[in-house]
Amino acid sequence: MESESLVISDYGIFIGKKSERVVLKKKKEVIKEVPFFKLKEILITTSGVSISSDVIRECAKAGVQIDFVSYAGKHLAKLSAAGMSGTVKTRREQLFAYEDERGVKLAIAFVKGKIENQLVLLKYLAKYRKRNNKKLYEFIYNQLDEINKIKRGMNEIKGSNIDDIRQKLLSIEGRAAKKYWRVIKRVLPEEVEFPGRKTQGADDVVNSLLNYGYGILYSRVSTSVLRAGLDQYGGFLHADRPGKPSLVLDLIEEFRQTVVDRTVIGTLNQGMKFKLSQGYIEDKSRRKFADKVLERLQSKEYHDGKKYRLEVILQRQARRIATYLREGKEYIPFVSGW
Amino acid sequence: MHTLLIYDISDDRIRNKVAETCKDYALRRIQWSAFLGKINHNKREELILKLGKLLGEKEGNIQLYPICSKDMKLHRELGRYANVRD
Repeated sequence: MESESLVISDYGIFIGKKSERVVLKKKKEVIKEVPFFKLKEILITTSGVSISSDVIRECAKAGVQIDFVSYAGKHLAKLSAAGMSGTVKTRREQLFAYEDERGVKLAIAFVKGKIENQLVLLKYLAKYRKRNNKKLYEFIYNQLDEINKIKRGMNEIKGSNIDDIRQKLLSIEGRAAKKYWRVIKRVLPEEVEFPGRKTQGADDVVNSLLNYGYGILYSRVSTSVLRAGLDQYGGFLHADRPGKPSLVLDLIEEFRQTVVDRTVIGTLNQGMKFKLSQGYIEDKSRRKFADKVLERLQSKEYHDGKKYRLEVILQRQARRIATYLREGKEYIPFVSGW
Repeated sequence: MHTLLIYDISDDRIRNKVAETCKDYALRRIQWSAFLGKINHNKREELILKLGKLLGEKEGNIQLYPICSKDMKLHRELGRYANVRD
């Protein structure tokens, strides 16, 4: 049975519970009802929403996470069941892994996955331009070669501790990303302005969409990490910092391109228009785009020789990290098909 | 599978509870005492158990019909009045 993500992106909504359903009300009028057994997550992306404690209670029982995401896609808060952090063995291994070779291997796998997925997306973009835009096609393949060269540098990285090699890894990741975004800029429709990738304080459509999309993806990855019994804050590639969910940021790397970047490029190339007001994407456009990203998470890709929905693959990858940490079964990053 | 649930219950309190429970199982109201929706085998059994408990020893009648999608395609509807559904 299909389960549903509830995205609340409208002012003045009250989220309440009636019998065993979540009820959305606006101005005392019921606008939507979803039974709890069908509910996957609640994502609140706007201000001026009220939520009843009964809903929170039921969500905790049903394992449904409630996330607050800002306009710009920044993840602000999450509410999840208290029992979710009861997986000691996995956590202990996760924290130990930082000091040994496992951390090194995982960090390399994340970066590898990210770059592989960038390559896949570029190839995918090139495929459709082979006929009608030879110049762009060649440009893309040029950059592909260069990214491949950069990628090879990873084979030489050796170390027994993640702190020794982090700088080298980040430098490779950064150089590849620079080339990658250079291509993306050329691929977007001409009328769309894209000054280059900006993470914070972006005030153009492309970056705003990217950031918002990553915000949605982030909440999904964080749920997956929690469900796998891992600690969100014990990452490898991303250094420790109080309040920084490094492991979520680590795992998100291999999904950014497939889930968000491709959706952004796709919707813009289809001619979908997004309005900005005061540097933020407008309410209506935001919901339209959120639907696209959620739709993308429902689409299927190959994983381990079988087809799974992307959201399922996300969960599987999180579990794989946990298995690797506990039992040493090799972690292979997810690479999408093209 | 599509499932049609109809009931005839005179006690207001129980009737309301039955209707609410139908909604909890993602069935939607198609007439005052008729609900329709897609529901899997397990959930359907769960629902009928719950309704049985609700009804208890009181007077009333609840019927549940699974409808296969082939037959569902033959569904027709005629309506002559303004919206009465919720």
